[in-house]
Amino acid sequence: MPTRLSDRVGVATAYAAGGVLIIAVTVIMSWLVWQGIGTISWDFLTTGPAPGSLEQGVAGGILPALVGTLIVIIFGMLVAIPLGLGVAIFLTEYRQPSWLAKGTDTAIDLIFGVPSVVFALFGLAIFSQGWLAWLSNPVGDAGMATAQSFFCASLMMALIGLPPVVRSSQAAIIGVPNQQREASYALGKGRLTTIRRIVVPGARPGIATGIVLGIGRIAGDTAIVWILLGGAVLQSPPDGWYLPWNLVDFLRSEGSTLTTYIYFSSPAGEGNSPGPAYGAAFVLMVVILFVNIALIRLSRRKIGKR
Amino acid sequence: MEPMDTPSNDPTDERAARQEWRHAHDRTSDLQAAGNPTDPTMVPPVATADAEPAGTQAAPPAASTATPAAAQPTERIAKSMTEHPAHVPNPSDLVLAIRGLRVAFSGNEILHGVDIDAPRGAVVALVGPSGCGKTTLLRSINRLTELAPTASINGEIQLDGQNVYDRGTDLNLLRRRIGMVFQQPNPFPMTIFDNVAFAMREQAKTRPSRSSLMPAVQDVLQRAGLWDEVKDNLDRNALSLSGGQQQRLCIARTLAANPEVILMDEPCSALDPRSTARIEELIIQLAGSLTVVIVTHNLAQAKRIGDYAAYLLNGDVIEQGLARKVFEDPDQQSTRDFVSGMFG
Amino acid sequence: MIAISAFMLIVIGAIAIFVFYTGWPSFSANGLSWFGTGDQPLDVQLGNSFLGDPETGEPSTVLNAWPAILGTLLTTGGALLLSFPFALLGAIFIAELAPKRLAAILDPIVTILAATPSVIYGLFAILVLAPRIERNLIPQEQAEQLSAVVTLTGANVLLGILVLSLMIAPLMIAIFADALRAVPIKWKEGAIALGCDEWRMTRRVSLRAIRPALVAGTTLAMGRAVGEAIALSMATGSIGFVPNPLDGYFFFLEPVRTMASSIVDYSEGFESPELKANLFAFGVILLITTAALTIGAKIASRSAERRLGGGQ
Repeated sequence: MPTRLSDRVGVATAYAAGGVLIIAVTVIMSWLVWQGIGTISWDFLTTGPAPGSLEQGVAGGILPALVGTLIVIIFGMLVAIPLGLGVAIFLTEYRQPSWLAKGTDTAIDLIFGVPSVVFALFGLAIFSQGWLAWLSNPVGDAGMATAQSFFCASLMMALIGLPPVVRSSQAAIIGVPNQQREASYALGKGRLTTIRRIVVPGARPGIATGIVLGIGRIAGDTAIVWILLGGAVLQSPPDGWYLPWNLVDFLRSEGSTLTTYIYFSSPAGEGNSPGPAYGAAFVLMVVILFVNIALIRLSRRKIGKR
Repeated sequence: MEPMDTPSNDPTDERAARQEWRHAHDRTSDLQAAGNPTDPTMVPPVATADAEPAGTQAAPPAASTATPAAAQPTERIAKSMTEHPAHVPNPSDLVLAIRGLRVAFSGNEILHGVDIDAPRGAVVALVGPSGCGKTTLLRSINRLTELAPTASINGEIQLDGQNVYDRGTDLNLLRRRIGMVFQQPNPFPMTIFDNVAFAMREQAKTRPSRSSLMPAVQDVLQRAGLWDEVKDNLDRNALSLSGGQQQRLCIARTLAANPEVILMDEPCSALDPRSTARIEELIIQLAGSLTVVIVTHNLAQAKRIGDYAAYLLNGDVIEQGLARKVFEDPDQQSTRDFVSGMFG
Repeated sequence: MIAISAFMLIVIGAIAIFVFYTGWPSFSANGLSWFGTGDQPLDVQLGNSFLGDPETGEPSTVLNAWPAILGTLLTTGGALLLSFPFALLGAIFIAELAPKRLAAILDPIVTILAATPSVIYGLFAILVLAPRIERNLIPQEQAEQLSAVVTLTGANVLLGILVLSLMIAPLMIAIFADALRAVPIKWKEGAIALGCDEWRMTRRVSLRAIRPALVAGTTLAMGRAVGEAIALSMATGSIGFVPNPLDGYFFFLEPVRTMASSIVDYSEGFESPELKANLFAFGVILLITTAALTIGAKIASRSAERRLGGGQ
């Protein structure tokens, strides 16, 4: 124990902070499990909300929300991964012209720092233009669009998922040993071939980490979904939504995700039925947990490789 | 602290047990050897800003009271019947006595029961090939080894007869009594003044004022031979100094804690020859008023500055004693092979 | 690659242009009084811009956004004041003081907490914390005295601060603890070799060395807090009220509505151009604030790093 009083107080408060942290974690997690696990059932996961049921806090499931979360993750990352990888390669392997490199670097920082509700506003402004109505649905004949669809939400989600992909890939690409690049050049391979064959495969664990981080951010975002996918909870997905020829129509339609489902069914939303909200929160937390387990696995693999 | 009174802890017994220590050592000739042009690692002495005259090292305050302890010369040491280093008042007065030290990391033993003596006021050089455990040995003295969670440490290290591994040892006090200078100069990211005043502020009960610290800061910077170079900008970031200056700052910072022993872990390996010479000179000046235990893989350096030397190989002490004896007339073939590499 | 990177600049530019362009009518109609307090409560003004002014029937462009600005300032400021010291001490605990095994458990937990969606914290706040605040902290008589002005419920400034702290404290702990661990071992050993224990070492050396991370982590957390819409829409009561400092302790138990949560709360009224302009004007302020935080943090931590790296 330190001799000085100020040090003793400091150490004691640090221990207290650790204690508060442990208690808070225990309380929140056990609350979520305790409340959530009772709601979870096969029906809850595989049906949509029954008509009129959410308001009364009775039956109904979260299938549309679960599907919605999966769709914004998949389509958001489908855009974010090539974009992010491209930016990362530019920022590490090319960096010419340098003003563009600096500008892009700052742009990624800004995209990371800007709150998602601003992206939602941006999406609303741009996707409500009539010429982009093919991404959602036209409103009347005023040359406007609803700007509410899986397409719109996923495109903005791509911006949320982008910065982690860029930063993790960047770090991983820098970590690829230079000898490997030089060996490839020595064999007469061009720059692009070297990047495709040597650099990207070598950076794979880091790129994967970025992707998983991006998935976590997208799965947890509410504001974009609320504004760009519709503020209501769908009763059920349209019939046959999973059929490939219905896909475009489905992606142009409104929907919900786990986050908006929770918001909607919480006392703050219109649903006000805590039961399903707990259930959906539990499921969402399980998703986040899997994401983090994947992250830990990936970081172990990276360390193991060295 | 309770006195230790088991027989093996008695310095006089130790004396009987380790006759090598008693052999005389002519420091002056050692310094001359330092200027030996055949030695490739040697640097000519540099003029320093420090006002102290060259050769101070030969006349520390303790010199006059030194009593020749070489009453019973060992038959093996033929050539040197001279006295022990002049600034070591009494070679049987051990400030540090390491007894049966075993250190293992994750079950892999690095030191296999090491015994080493460090007489008060001496410069003790630990030499050996890399990986022989000398750094681990050094770091065990101020109990830094145990910061690694996998380390297990057995044996005794007595500081003034008190085992530093006793339960209830005040680690912070121990580390103030045994200072350490690291291989890489490691001044903290703060001003020169704050670096030097670090330990004083650490030891003060209440926050001392800058002006009250100034005399002591000046004193240790002067002892470290850095004062003239930095006196005009004490508020400069310490990281802006050159490597050699940084290392001398670290020595000053350690001196400011007023330690009895300073451990040095290859303090010159990251420095250029000029800075190295400067620091060697400083170590020689410091000896006498305190004890220096220095790890080096530069044999020429060990020979230049060491009063006593210990040769370690694969976690065992092969030979130890007066530096001159170890380097010039070693008893063990292994030592001879190692030492001969010095000029070969 | 060049095209993709240039595209990023275009995206950032487009975000700024579209948000500014759509929000501009709100600023131009109100001038500097946009930032001031108005005769009518915020909620009435926002309602009038959607439904139309009761007197004229025309959608009103009047907006005096001070209540929303104050709501954002109060919740963000309160959360930072509460969570910065907590996060710093918690990070010191995890990185330096806690037994290694406990730290190895707490590490991933903190990461998961930092990654937990804000809507879950919002749900926790409104379902678990709000009833307890209402029951234990709001005496009936006082609430009745104030009932003419505002209805006090469990959802209020205090709950907003708590829910934001739940969000940003783990984020800051994770960043600070990583930075503490990354302090060069030579500095840590140097301090220990001079007789510091872990606490003194952290206080005197590590905290100096991690200043760039302290700046970066705090500004990142601040950006998150300023821009948080959903959790605050759930936790603050979502009433455009200006808490009265004269109410003393009740100041923190009065509801507010932040800029970000206003956007979500009124998101169903976007077809009204006037309301849309008002909500986008909030977006403009959020965009400017967070962009300034991002760039400010970059400059600040870079100069702090330069100072650590040597030179003057």
